[in-house]
Amino acid sequence: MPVMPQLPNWLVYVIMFIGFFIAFFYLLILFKKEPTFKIKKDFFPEVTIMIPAKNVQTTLESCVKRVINQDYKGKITILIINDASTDETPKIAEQLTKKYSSKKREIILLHRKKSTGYKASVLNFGLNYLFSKGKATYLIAHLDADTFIPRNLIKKAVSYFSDERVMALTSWMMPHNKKGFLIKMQKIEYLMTSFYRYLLGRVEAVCIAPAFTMFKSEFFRKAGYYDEKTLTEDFEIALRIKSYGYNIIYLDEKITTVLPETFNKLRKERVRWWYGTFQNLVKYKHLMSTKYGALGTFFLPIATLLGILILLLVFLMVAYGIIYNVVNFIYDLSLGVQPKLEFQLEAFRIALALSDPRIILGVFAFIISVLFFIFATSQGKEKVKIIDYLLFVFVYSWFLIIFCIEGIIKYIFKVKIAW
Amino acid sequence: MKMTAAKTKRNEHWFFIVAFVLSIMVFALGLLLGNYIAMSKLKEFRETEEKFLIDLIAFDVRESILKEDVCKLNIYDLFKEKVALGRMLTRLEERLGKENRDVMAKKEIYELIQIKTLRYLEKIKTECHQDYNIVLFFYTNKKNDPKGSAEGCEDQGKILDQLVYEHNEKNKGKKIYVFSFDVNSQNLATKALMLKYNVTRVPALIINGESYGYLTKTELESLL
Repeated sequence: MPVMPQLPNWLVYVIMFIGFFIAFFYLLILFKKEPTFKIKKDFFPEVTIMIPAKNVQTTLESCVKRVINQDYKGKITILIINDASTDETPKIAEQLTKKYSSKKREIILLHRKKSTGYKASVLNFGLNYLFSKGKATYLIAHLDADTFIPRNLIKKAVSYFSDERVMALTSWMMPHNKKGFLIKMQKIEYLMTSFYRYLLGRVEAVCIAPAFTMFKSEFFRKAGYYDEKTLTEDFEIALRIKSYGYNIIYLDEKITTVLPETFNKLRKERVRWWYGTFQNLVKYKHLMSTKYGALGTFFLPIATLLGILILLLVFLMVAYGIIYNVVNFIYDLSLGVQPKLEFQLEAFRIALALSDPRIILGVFAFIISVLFFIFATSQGKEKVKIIDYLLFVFVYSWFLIIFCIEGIIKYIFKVKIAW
Repeated sequence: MKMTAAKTKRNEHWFFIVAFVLSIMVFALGLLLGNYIAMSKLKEFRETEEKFLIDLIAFDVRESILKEDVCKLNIYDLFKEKVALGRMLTRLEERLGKENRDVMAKKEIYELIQIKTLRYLEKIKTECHQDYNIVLFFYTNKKNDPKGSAEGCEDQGKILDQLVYEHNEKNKGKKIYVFSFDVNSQNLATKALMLKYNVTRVPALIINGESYGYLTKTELESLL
């Protein structure tokens, strides 16, 4: 007697249908014209770049130098916020202040004596300083100390802010590190994620403000600073911007950031992301409405919530399938039936197996995913080996789903997670 | 707090309709393609089955005309072909469902082929003093069949497959020739077999003419 029942076919079809729907929606966006914004090329307002710095002795100088060397004609103030670093960071920051401060490139160094461990509180420390001292410029950006921006980024970014609809701007992100299997996989992940964000930019549905994001300072004045209760302050503030009906530009210009190189660091980061994602999806559930365009009707409810649900279901189904086969294998052994080692490669059997619509639709889904991969590599001007992409799809993705499950479980049971 | 929300262009409503239609089209294409391949395989099965049936009838006719010595007939190759046909039928059952009308129709012909092959094997065994086991296996595919459990039949089938593999492929004992019959078949010949061996419950095994119910692998090994 079979020990476990088989999963119903209809569940597979429902999952596949939702998957195809999401994929086709994104494909349609690809063929949509990019939105036009008022771009002023002779617009040079003062910009402040806040750099939270906690034990970043290896990357801080390079990060700051990239800002100093911007080809932007206006003034840039760099606000380094030393978050109770215990390494050489304060010393390096001090030296940078002395060495590079000039009329057009001012560097201010702030020290926090006690760290709370949350990036939002460091950024708020900087914002408090700027607003209380009357130093808040028209545009304020945050930049992670392990993130590096191209020379023309500020000039290009600023030009969009003359449009009244634009409240923030972020950019295409790629890994700064080059070697290692995990980096290779994250490179593909970042490439695909950036590509999807780029597509969302076309329907004005970008809702993330990661490692480098520039804001109009009026937003902080009117809508408050970063939320210190969330684990993903970048997602929270972006959703807040959208909740006010403003737009976030996704610039097709690559910035690079240092990514986790060990499995455990990667796991911790992703679990925190998922935890924060759910915190904010609950907080901003009211954005899932037709009032907020593609963000409220497609991205949040379908691509994100339903997307996560189908990923979880796929994971559970695969896990169930493995358990089902193992249990049946053990049961067969108890009957005295041993697995046959030879694999019968009968053409008839293979053809019939391939005639299963689930297999055919699975092949279609894979073709569409490869198509997206080709579009992403072309748009991102990145070279990725096909073998790496296959490893990403068939190996690495499963770990991402496991991290997502861990994040959800920790969120549901309110397990404390450090930033 | 009062802030002026800027108007955003929202002309993506038609994306939903187009994405939905495209998803349906891909689904339809997947189903049609799957169905086309399955039907072509069903046709292939039918052709193989017909050819087999013709061969059997030809054997029969030749035997009656020439009065040939049955011991000279190459019945083993014929049996192997029957096994291959049976495997094809099993694959079709897996893909199209055990209660699919087309599959059931093909199964009726297959049962006739089985009975015809069985008659030859029985004749050769008696007349040519060959030593092998002939096993008739009566089963059901129906869930909650009052005649017996479909799961029990599935297990019995697996055990028989294993023993056939061990005896016929690995030469661990006397050869076993298994003939499987669905007790819910409408085939008159199958019904006649059931009547002959008084099969009322499943799984039922007729081993070299003796009737048994469900047998474990060890029990079967002691009988073969």
